[in-house]
Amino acid sequence: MKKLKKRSRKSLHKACEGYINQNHAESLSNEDASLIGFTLSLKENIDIIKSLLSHSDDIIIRHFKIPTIPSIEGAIVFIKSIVDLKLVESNILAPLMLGLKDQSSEELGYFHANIKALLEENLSSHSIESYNDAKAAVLEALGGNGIIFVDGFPAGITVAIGKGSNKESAEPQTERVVKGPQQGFVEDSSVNLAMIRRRIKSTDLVIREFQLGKETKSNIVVAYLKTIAEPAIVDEVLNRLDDVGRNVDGITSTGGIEDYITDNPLSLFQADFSTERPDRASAMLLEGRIAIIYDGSPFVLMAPSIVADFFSTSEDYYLNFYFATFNRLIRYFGALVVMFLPAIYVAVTTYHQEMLPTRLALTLAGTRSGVPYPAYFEALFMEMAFEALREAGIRLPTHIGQAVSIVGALIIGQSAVEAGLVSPAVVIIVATTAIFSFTIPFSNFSLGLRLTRFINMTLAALLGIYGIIAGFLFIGLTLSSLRSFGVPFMAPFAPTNLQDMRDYFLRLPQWAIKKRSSHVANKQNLTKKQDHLKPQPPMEEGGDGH
Amino acid sequence: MKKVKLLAIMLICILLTSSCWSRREIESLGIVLGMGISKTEEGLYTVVAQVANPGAIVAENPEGRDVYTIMISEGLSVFDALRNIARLAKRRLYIAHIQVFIIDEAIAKEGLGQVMGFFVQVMEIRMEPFVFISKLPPKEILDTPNSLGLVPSLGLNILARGYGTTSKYYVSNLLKTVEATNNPIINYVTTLVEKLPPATNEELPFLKLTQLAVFKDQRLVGYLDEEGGQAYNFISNNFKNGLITYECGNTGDQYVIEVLSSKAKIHPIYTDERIGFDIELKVEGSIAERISSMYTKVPIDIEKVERQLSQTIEDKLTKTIALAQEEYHVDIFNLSRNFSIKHPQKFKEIKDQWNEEFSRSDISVKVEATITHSALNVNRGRL
Repeated sequence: MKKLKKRSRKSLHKACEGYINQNHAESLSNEDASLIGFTLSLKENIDIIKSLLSHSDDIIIRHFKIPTIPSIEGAIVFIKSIVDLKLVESNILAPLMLGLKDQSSEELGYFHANIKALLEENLSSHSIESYNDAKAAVLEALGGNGIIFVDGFPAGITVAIGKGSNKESAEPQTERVVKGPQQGFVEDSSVNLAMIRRRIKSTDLVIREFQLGKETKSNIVVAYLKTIAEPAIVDEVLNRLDDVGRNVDGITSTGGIEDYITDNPLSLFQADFSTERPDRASAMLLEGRIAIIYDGSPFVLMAPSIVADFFSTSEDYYLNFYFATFNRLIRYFGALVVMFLPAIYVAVTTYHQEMLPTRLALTLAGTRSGVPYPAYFEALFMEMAFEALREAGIRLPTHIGQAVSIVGALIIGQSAVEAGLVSPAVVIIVATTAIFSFTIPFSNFSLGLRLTRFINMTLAALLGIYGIIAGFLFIGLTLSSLRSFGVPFMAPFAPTNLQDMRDYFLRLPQWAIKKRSSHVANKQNLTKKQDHLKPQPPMEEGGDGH
Repeated sequence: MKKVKLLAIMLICILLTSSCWSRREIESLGIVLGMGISKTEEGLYTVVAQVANPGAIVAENPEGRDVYTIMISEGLSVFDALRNIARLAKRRLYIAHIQVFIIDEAIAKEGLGQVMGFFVQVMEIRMEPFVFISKLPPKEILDTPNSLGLVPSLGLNILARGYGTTSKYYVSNLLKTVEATNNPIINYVTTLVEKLPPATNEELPFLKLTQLAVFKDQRLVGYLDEEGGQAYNFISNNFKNGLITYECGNTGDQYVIEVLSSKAKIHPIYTDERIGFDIELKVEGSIAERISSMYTKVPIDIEKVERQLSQTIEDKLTKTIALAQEEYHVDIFNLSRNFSIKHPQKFKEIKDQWNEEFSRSDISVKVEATITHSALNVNRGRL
């Protein structure tokens, strides 16, 4: 919370919504105070552009002559790789070179000073802008636009000829569902935005576009519902992104953004939530979250995030709510198992044998007899082996990856037990831990949990149950101190909010969840829906002979 | 940084609070499941430990004799003898999982106090193992392998916990034993374990819980038979389930009643310097079996059965109470508890000779039996 105040004070003088539009002009002037203006000469203008683009070979300069009387010399400059060449031919060159044939420019009233009007009237491009500043014009060219220069006219006119994405949607890879939409975000931010727009046809959906990175100029789209999102958090998100955009040379992934804008830069747990699913993103926008879409990544960052986000999936809302609630409870239980099960095994077999039921103690002692290592090393080796297997399986191509997992899990595990190197009990413990770790739907959070189990195991080996309690305290304190844009990460558990648990811990039916979380959404506008929505059968009409 | 320091301090504090510090791998322990205590002629204590053999227990078809080892040693006290066993055991003896104690009858007659001191002091042990009395040397009882591949101590533990199927005996655990030896007012009962010869030549010998051992304070004074065991369980509210059989005088029919629940209420009376108790017992049961004599094909008269059942149980109780009062002079039912709650002043005066006072007291028994269902077919018991 302290950090949030500090940051917002710093940029208090800025109106939050106004400054984004001026963003790139501002950032240009920050980099270099001197403007590079265009000249009257066509050739010089082209040279300016070429030198600004470091004489790269993919710059195309197409000279043309507009065949009016007298004819006008011109050229269009664009970057081959990012424009649609068909558009250049059909929307720019054809109308200019053929449509104006033999017409008197004087009769039409076009003079050099009015060349922008000529292009606006004759070209079917949706965006035509005039730039006096060469640097600004180059940015447009880098964004996929063409720059038209006309001899004797000291400005560049940009026309939109950018290539659209040919990928309409993708299957979400990390958030698969059995039941539910199979549409996922793609790398192109405008397609992603379209997916959100299609789901939320609201006039309150605010879209802010700007560029991040001094070199990369990556497109970032920030989307939120202005009536539902908490304005202070929106300001905070925009300020942090602005700060990053000015001072970082380049961003190449959403992960990069996360690192810069997170509240907890050094925490073991990654408290920033990103999703690959437009339905999930839209639902979260409706809860008052802010979507940060990075052009180039199919993962959309949602801010602020809370722990419950990592334990719910879109599919929960397609299943019967009893079962969905049960699933969620399994995931939370899974998190505890992942953190503590191997540690409990180590503690119980090396310190607290009296805690075991007698028969279990005998069985454990029996299976461990002949195992040469202490329980701690036994469990540590197996856990390490499992993590290595998982890493190997992910990096390899799918079918080889599967083979590696099977070979590793079955053959190595079995032979290790048969050779008496590890006990069957520890294999079961490691396997159980692994299975439960896969129940947590979002791997970026479960990574942190998986690391804690090594800490817990070590503490358990040194101190027994006391060590585990110490680990539990440490993890609890760490998690409770996490913040996401000032919102306590452990909400609705700490601070406890029973109202919010209806949707974040359990999964009650939709009609029972009437309010948005007060931690996340705008506190003036928390009511989601009316009271009477619980469905019931129609009133029976008695006595009509049935 | 401040937070990190605080956290470090907290962690160190946790370290200091840990009171036991002993890392030992589970497989390096010799898990003692049963312990027997007897005395040699020279007055030394002999301790028998039944140590589990975990490697054999997890084997697919464990052999009856492979799953345990019997170790025996003598010493000046129980603890001394136990430490002497450690000299021959190759593993650290771990007594937290002890299931049963077998105490030799000779020690029980001398007094349990001499062996219980160790179990009051030792921290490792739980208070839940069952305590048995044996006429045979404890090592004979412990070394009774069974065809289930179960360690005999575990088997005995299962027998003790299953007393509720007949309610003919009652096995006290270590907590009750220690309590009874430390408090001279509390009397104590537990069960005698005997080794039966094998049923056939192929079979192994069996362990059976037979009689209720009656202790005056901490000394064994005698035994009650199965009927006495049932009466004890009725009065001390330990009766779980069990069969009562009686023969109807008029018809010669035999009835077997399964008692489903029973509740005893004890009202101590103190009037005119005389101590008395009203024992009010409510029993619910069902008719489990009727052995009809040849010529009486009549339906069961439930009310009559209830009256007869009440009478039968009443007789059992009266008989056992008379035995306790007149033969053993021991308040085996610990009625002193009820009396001390109602008349604390008077109890203080007489507590030192409570058993004598008990023997002189008037005890009246009133049983109210109800048959909740006949558990018989549509013929209502007619054959």
